[in-house]
Amino acid sequence: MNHRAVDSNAPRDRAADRPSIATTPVPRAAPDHSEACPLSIHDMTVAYHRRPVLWDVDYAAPEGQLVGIVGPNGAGKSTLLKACLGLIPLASGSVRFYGKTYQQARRLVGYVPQRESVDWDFPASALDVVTMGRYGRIPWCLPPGRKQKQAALRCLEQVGMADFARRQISKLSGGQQQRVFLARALAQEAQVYLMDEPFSGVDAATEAAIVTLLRELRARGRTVLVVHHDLQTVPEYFDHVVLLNMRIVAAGPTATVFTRENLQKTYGGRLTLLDQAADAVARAGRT
Amino acid sequence: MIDTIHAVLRSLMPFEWAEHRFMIHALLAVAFLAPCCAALGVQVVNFRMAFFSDAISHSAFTGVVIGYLLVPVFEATWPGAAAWNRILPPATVVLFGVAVGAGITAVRRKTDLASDTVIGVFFATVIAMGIAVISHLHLRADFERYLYGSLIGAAPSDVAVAIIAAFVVLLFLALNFNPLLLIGLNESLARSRDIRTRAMDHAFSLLVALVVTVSLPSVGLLLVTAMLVVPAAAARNIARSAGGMLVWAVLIGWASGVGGLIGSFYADTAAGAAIILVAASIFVLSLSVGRLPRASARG
Repeated sequence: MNHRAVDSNAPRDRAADRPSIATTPVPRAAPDHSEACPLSIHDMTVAYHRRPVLWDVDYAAPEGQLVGIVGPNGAGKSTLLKACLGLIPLASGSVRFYGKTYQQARRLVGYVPQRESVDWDFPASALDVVTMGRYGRIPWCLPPGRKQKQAALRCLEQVGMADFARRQISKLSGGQQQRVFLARALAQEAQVYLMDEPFSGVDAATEAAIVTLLRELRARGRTVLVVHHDLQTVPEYFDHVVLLNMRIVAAGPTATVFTRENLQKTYGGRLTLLDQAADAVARAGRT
Repeated sequence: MIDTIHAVLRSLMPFEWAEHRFMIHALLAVAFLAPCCAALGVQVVNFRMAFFSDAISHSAFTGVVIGYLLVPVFEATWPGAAAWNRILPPATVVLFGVAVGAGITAVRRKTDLASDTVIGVFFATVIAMGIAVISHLHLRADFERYLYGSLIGAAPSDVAVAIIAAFVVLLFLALNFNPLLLIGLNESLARSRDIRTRAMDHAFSLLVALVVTVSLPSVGLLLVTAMLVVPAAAARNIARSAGGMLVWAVLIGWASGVGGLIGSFYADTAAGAAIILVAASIFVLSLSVGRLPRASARG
């Protein structure tokens, strides 16, 4: 409905600045849609204007783990999340959450879109936004009751934003807005979270708060998939990693998959990025 | 019933303007129409659809032309079945407005063009269509009435239509309040929560077309968008929450409607213009209110 120029669901065509895919994907067994698996993707292909932007994606997310989705610009990271949520139609393949379609498992899945795609000038307080996470539990036509607002306030406390509950969201800093948005996802009380670049453009304090929150979610057995850009922090933040460049180049435990060789395949030999990655890999080896 | 209401209002308001029956009709019409427009305007402002609403309201021009063109056809086909000259123009305004809204939405979704570009194309096209048909067929219908409106010409039937319109708009907003909030914040997020944003698009276009049609005889198509946008814009400056914005918009819409109507009686100006000027004055005041620090904002 919104007539804004942001938040298009169409995957952006960035073929021009995308490195060539220098590799065939690592062969992996296609996952079955097990009821024990928080997210299983089978043979997913997504196309935009008849041009595939994701090819033959097979992946099964491990339960109770933090999973980083990493790849160059235009690799299809955000598209992957949106396709899992049915926001973009699949050309082929299927996606299941605990063996169910997204429509069946909607309440189990929490989504955090990119902060830039949100209308932060919208006349709503931080508490209003977090309460939106409770909408599955509130009829469309009724205002949230005291119980729902208290639950939303607890989520704001979890991200250190309780003191800002009544503040209009446009009056918050970028990092505070991101924390409010994460609190909204928490309020949903999901089992699986899909987060699109939650660390983008936030200050160090917010980044630390988000990492703490992710670890709390993991401790509670939640599975969190995070689109992430900063290669240097991947080994520190994530248990598992998915290296994506239109196809899944490699996926698995960070310690075994996040290697210079795999990164070179993913990023097509960009020296600066590989230098960053080498530092990160070396640090990961020391820890 | 209208006589009873008239008598009650005259006894409650012993003012010169209230002695005129046409002013009482106009007051009743505007008392429902203005807050109805303002409430719908909240969504127009929050979804940045002022230009979209403008295109739909201006499509009414062509919609009226189509209605008048169809009158002789219907009269020849079903003579005496209905007062076609009274039924068809309002009906074609709504249908054409909805078609324009659906067209804009479809083209916007299927192309990479910016919304304002798509709306601009539709806006110019519908106006050109109306002018082309009028100039070619030398239609004599009173199109000025649709351009400028005449609130003091409101009949009891216009009052009834205004009440129904207000009821429909408030019912739509009440039933969809939470989904509309989520869509306003982020459309992808709303879709991920099973909110049918495309159906909302069409429902919203239909409502705007309906409200524009109902408002046209009162304020005219040149000013009807202002009835939607100005009170809601003022409310957005004042309110801190979405619910607060709706309440403020309705209050400002009602105050500017009633105040503008009474003011126009003494200033001897067009009522529609006076209403918009009062609303614009409130908007100017709201700019300074919006800059005040929020006493209750913590942190």
